[in-house]
Amino acid sequence: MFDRLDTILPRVTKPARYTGGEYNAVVKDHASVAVKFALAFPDTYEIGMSNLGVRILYHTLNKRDDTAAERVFAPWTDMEDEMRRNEIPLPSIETRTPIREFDIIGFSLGYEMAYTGMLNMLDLAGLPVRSSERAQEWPLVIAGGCCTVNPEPIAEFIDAFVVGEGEEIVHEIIDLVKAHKSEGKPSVLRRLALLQGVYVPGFYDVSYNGDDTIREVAPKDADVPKVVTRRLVWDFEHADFPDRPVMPFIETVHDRIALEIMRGCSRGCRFCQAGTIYRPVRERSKERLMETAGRLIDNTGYDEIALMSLSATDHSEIRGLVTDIIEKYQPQRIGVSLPSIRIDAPCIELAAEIQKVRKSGLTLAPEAGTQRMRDVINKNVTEEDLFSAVREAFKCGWQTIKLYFMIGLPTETEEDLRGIARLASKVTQIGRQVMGRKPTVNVSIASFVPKPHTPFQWRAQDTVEELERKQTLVRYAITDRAVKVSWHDSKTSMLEAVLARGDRRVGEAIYLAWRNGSRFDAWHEHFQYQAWLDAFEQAGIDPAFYASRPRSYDEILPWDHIDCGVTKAFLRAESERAEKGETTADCRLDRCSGCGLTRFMPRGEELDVPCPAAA
Amino acid sequence: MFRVLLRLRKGEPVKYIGHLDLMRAFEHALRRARIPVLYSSGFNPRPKMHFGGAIGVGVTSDDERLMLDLTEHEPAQEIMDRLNRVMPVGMEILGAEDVPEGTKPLAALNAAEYRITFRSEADEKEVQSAVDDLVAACEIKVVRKRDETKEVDIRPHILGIEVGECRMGKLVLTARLMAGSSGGARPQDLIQTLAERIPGLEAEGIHKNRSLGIEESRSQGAKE
Repeated sequence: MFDRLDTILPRVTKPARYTGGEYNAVVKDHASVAVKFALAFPDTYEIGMSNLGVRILYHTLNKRDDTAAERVFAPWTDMEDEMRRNEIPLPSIETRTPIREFDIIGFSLGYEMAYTGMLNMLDLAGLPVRSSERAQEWPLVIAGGCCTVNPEPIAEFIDAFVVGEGEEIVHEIIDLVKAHKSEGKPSVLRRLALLQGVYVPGFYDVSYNGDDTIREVAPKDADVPKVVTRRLVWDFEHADFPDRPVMPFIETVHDRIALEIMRGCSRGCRFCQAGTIYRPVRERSKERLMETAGRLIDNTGYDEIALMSLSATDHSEIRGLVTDIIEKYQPQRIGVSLPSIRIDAPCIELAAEIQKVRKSGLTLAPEAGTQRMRDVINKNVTEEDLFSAVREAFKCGWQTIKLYFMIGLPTETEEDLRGIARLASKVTQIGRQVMGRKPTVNVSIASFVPKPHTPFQWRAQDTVEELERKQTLVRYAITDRAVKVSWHDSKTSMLEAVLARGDRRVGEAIYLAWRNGSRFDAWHEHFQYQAWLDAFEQAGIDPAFYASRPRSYDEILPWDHIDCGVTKAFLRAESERAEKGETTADCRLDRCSGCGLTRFMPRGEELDVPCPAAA
Repeated sequence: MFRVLLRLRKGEPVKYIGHLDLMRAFEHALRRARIPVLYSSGFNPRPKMHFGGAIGVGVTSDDERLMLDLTEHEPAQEIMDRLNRVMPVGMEILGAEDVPEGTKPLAALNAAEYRITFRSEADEKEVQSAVDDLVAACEIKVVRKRDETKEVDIRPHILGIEVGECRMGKLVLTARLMAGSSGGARPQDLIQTLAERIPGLEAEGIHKNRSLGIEESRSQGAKE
């Protein structure tokens, strides 16, 4: 094995993607463990190594003496060619063991555009890509990550899904496999299906109505749960957190300490899937975070610590935490960064305090161009918030501001689109006023993709043509030469919408797209739109049925049997409020909005704020 | 300011790590070991460390030299031990010494001795005669492909080649080559030109035995 891989490594780009040996990597003797777990990430090493979920699972699994967790990433196209030509089955990084020899392959799925990459990895491993063709055959192929809140499009490829947070349930899975592996894979799958948070699609039948909508998703047997409930970690304070992360040799996307300070976000933006599926908000205490930060600094040698959260400045002790870290570690030249900054002046001030060198620009996400549109999406940011935030930013020395917007939002009008141009222009004016010269304002425009388990899950996405028309409209509306505009490819956004809200029948198109040569769909240079269009046609699927069709509230959605905690009734109420342009306040600042998460609360737990739904 | 000279091994497990990444990995180790490194001033202070030359991807070495500037004096041996406790597998400090003032900069080390291992069915005589031809030639053109194809003459930068053992289909060459910004000969250049002369020759490994100063390498060549 070693020799064969070594003969091709000199011929590929960035061979260090595949050779491992990084500081803090864990290499175990397979003879000494009961369970071998291949942690698979269907994109490159650089992306996968930056993923916090992968880091957490690697750490918590390798803490067990009975388990070896090893990493495997999608080989780049040149490496894939060499592997196929030399018939080398996809190996793990740590011990170069073919991953098909592991007990479990666990994919981390954070982005729908990685689905073809996942099939490609299974194929490179020498495994049939369809679960039904591996019925008796190990390894067990499981998947977790935020994509699993709608597992249906990839249901035929994955043996079992983990819905929700993985750091606790992964141990239950290991225990189960260890105890019952000898009974064979079908028996293990049956036992897995009974764990809370596990979805074994093979035990469910899907039937359809004449209009192609879903009639029913029903368990084949009475003992299999009708609804799969998301797993979440209540004791976030004490949950396992990696304090010895693997130190990549090559530069990765997120090459610094990642300290997860908070999980969940209660702001309630109606387009945001992360805002619903990671609820409720849980914080780690400052004391615990300081202690973990110290270990991370000692064990890594990084000089930057990023405070990770969906909305880092919402942590109730953020100011004290930042001050304490700077005070304690500035002599060691360790800096702090906040990857997500709320749009208001005090948060900018805080960001300015910690980011002494403003080498990169400041990124803010107003999301929409008018107050009406921002009310519809419940982005509770006013124009005045934005203007005072950028004024503060220019005062603090930033010269480049990056603004994120979305187009194609529900109820959007041309007035909303022109609002984007107006806001961007106003930001450059503020820059001129404060600095006395022209700032750089980069406007990045994404296309709205309706996602499952959000208030907009029933909405139609604009067609590709409509999105492109809107892009042009915004482009022409922006006349300020200081503003630079970039936008996401609308074809990719359309495909993302199909894969995000697809049902089981979409799986065939994913399979065919992969056969047509699709992989690395998230990489612009590799995205093959035609391969996908051909695949839809071959599979007899109309992408518009999934992307640009509005659903009625009583339609059975492909993910209705997955309960993420936020109720369908709440999502519908939010959708109706959106229609009327009514906002809903952050439940941590106001009263409980009744999203349904309190149903998951263990006895004895209490909410920070009074919650009528819990009473 | 105090200065130490370190000799770093780049072993088999890290042979595919490029020079810049190796430096980064070393910098992380410096922080883990809490070595009191001096930092440059300015907006973006960097630790003051000076590497000899760049080592290529795929090449191992027992003699990468680097110099560190320290804010306080610590015994060289102590620095070496502390670093070795926090190094990735395959990276190891093999030697450390205090550097007295007025020592020549690392740039004076502009040559190196490489051990190149080949897979080959050729016999010793055949290889020896090919090497003799090579050394006798007044110019050796090799084509380097990077951004654009470039032809260079490496002959002036070859200081000596010795043919070692040749058995079981393996062949070992020891070559002393000059490097440096003025051009130089890379072990990969030598491999390329030999492969053109000896059919079936395939390089398996390139290892830098030691870094050499130019006078040192010349005088060694004269001894033969």
